[in-house]
Amino acid sequence: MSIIKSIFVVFFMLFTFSCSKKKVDSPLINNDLQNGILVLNEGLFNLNNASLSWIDKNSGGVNSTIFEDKSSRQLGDTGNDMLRYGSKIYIVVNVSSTVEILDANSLKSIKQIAMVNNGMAKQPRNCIAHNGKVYISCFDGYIDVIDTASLLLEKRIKVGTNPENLLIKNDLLLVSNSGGLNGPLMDSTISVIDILQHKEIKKIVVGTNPGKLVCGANDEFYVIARGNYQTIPSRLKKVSLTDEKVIKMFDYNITCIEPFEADYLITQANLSNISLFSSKEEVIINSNFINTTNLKTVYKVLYIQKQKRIVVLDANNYVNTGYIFEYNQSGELLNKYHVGLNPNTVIYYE
Amino acid sequence: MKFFLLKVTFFCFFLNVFSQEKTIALDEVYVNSVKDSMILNALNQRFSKVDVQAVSPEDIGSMTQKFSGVSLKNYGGIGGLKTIAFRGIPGNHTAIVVDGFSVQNNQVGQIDLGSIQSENVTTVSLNSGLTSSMLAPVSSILQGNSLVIFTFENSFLVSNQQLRFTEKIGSFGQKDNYLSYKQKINRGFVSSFIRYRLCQGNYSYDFKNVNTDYKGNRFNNDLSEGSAGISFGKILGKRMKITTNYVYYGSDKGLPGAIILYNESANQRLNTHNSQWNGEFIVCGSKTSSRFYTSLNMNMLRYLDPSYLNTHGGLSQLYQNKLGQLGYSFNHIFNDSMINWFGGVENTSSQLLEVGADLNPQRHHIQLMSGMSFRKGSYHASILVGNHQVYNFYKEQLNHKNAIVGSFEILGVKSNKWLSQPRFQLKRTFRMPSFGELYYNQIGNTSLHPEVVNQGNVGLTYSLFKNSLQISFDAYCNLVENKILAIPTKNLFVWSMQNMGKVLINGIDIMLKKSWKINDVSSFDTRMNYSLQSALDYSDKSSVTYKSQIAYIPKHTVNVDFMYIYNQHLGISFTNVITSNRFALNENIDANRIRGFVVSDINTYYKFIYKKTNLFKMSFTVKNLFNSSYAYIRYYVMPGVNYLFTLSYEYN
Repeated sequence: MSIIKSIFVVFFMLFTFSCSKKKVDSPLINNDLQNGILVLNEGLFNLNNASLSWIDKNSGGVNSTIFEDKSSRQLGDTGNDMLRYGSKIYIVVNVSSTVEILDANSLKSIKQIAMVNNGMAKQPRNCIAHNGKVYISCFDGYIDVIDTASLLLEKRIKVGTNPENLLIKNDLLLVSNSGGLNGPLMDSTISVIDILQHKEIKKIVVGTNPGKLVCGANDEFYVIARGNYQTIPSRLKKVSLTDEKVIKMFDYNITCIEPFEADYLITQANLSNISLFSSKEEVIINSNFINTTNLKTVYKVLYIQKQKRIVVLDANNYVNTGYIFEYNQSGELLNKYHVGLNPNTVIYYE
Repeated sequence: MKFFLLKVTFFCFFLNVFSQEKTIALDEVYVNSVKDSMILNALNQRFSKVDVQAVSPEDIGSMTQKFSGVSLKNYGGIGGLKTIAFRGIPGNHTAIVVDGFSVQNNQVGQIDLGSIQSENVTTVSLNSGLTSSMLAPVSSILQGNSLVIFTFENSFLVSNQQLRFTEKIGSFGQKDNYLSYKQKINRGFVSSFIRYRLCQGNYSYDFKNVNTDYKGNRFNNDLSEGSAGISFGKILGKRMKITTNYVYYGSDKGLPGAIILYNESANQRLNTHNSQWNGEFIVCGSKTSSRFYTSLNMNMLRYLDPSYLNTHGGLSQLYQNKLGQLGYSFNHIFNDSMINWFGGVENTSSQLLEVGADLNPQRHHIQLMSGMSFRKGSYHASILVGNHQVYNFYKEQLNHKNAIVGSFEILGVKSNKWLSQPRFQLKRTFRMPSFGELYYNQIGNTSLHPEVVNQGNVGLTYSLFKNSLQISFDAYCNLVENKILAIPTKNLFVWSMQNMGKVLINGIDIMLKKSWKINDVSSFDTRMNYSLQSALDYSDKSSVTYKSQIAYIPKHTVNVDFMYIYNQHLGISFTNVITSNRFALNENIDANRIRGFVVSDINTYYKFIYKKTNLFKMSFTVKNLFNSSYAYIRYYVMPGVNYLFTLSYEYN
């Protein structure tokens, strides 16, 4: 057999065995950014695969490369949070350490802010907007204040270790200091920032590894103290800003809480449903408000007040592309959409 | 640089003056090794020193991708972590054996093949069948697959003294010096070597970020490593042999990590110090051969991450691994020489300590094996049964695992019209979870079960045209059960090891070798191998990844190599590695697809022998000749076109 024949045989085999490729569905999608849902997909660490999915509610089609289509580049690594404020969308990309600012009407990138301090990545985590400013928690122990007109960094506010979730209440900015990178000796405090002076005024001890914050009545708020994932369990706690302390603890092994009209939707570890927690009685009044048995991994629960929609984000084992489940206020399933890897935030478009 | 130019001048002087010298005897050694370079059998593949030199690899890790069925995981350039999967089976199931002694690391369960040098290699084999030597470490035989390396320093001498010197200078600041000396003593030898390697590793890369070019330079990719060793061997009486060696390896390297879009702040480092002492005593009786062997290993590993955002201002983790191994193996031939009985026992005790933390697990791993081999006519059958007893101690808790493993194979050494050198193999092996998988912070899971692999293989080898053309076919089916996977269990930041996986791998290996003698002074060799691996995830029927190709296992890999040798002095080799598309995650969608690649290297050398005992050789290699932009692991980009100049001297 000659060399040429040998080469031919090898390449023929390559060609023959290379022909079976799975085709990807490509439904007709209206990208006009009306009557749809914009989804931030977190992606996975070190894979640079954070993405945006555009759900066209008219056709039910999903475009999970809309950011790439509009900007001719990728979003980056680990998209942690997204919000719309005015005519702009702010996306916090944690491992790439950037804040991507998009025009909300076109989804074209206006600016990419490199979140770097003295050559070190600040690792931005979450964001919230208030009174012309966007506040971004950075894992290096600061809250960055970005002016929404100039899109420039205005100030860095020192807080606790590895700050994550943010909440605005009574002209105060509350920040949960997780200290997650100091495990097992994590932080346990909430920083209280005077939003007018942009200065931390106090810290309240709430329990190990504080995460999600939601408003309560009067001067109260709720926080999930997530524990150390081993010996200290996750607990929901009610905190008084006036008393500067935890005033009540609930024995739920809680993973998620979301305001839902006057009450709250909560999820608990090892329970495959979403419960309804009454703010008045402070007990679970419906433990099976939404049955999520058919979902693989309930990553987040969101309530979109304006559209009266409950959105459950299914991370599908965290390593496969996820799903968005849309429910009405009664907990009835309306729609299901296949989106990108690890969906974690949505913005509704009318 | 001046020093380098002086060396080149010196070398060229030798080339001019002594190039007329011819030494048939030494040449024959090299010619013979070319002929015996590769066994055409996917269960026992072997490369000689000449094959290794033709590829001019940076290390053994780079060489392994020339074996059929191997999927290399290369985390980027010189100094990058290199591990292999053989026929879709994770690398932890392949034992690494150097000069007859196992190289193990119970902390991570795998050995970085990028840290094993290639300059001193005399042969490197990938054995999936029962090895030809039943006196190999019990653990390597029971592990099923083994990468077996023999080095110059630990072989017995044919002359009074032997010297080896190699200097390599290459792109990205690569400097690699190796010096080894071996002295014959009364029926034995003593040898020592020293080697150091430096590399800046700052190569440029350029890839498409959708429609935007993303360019940059790899940084924090430097490497400084050194190793030294001493060996001693002696034949005692008529039937006994003793050998012992000590090897030290140390390295300091940057960990560039994956390229993270828009963020170039990686500054992690890894320091390693490793000492291993080995000893063996072999008795070869007329009927029974026995081998007693022992190894002691001390490994220190320090991981530094100054950018880790904790209150200490960074991460500094120091791990100390200690491992001791003691074993005995034997092979007994019965009177009619048709039946062999072989077996052995081995105990490996290991301990991991994380300094400043309470991580200090211990393990005692006892392995027993017993087997028989039978020969009838041109057929050879072997059966092996083994038992693992593993005792893990951690925080006053005892965790005991045991498993029965075994293998059965039939080999035909002759051919008839249709069945040519047939072979058949069934095998069941297992591997214990590493200390990291069991105990490391929140990731570790003490409930893990061992990962089990069942392997089956059938194959044939044809030798045609007076053995100038050899073709082998192997088809195999492997089933990995209780596959250990890291899965986020609490949220995306809290991962844990789980026995979640089941993978079914079906494949074929085709190997071909052809030699042409063009005339009395020149010859042309070609060899090719093709591997088809259908490695499908059978873990969860309800998952979207069910029956999807598992991550980082290419469906098709091809090696095509050509070698032209003129007058035994001049040689040119052109080697190609072709890898098809792969997926970065088990979900086989476009977003996870990693482009396949073709990487071609060309290597030319000139060598001559002076006064029968001196071999000078100069070679020049262009790697990635066509400047292909590629990566084995997503975002761990590999270098573009680069160069390597090698000078070597051998005294025999």
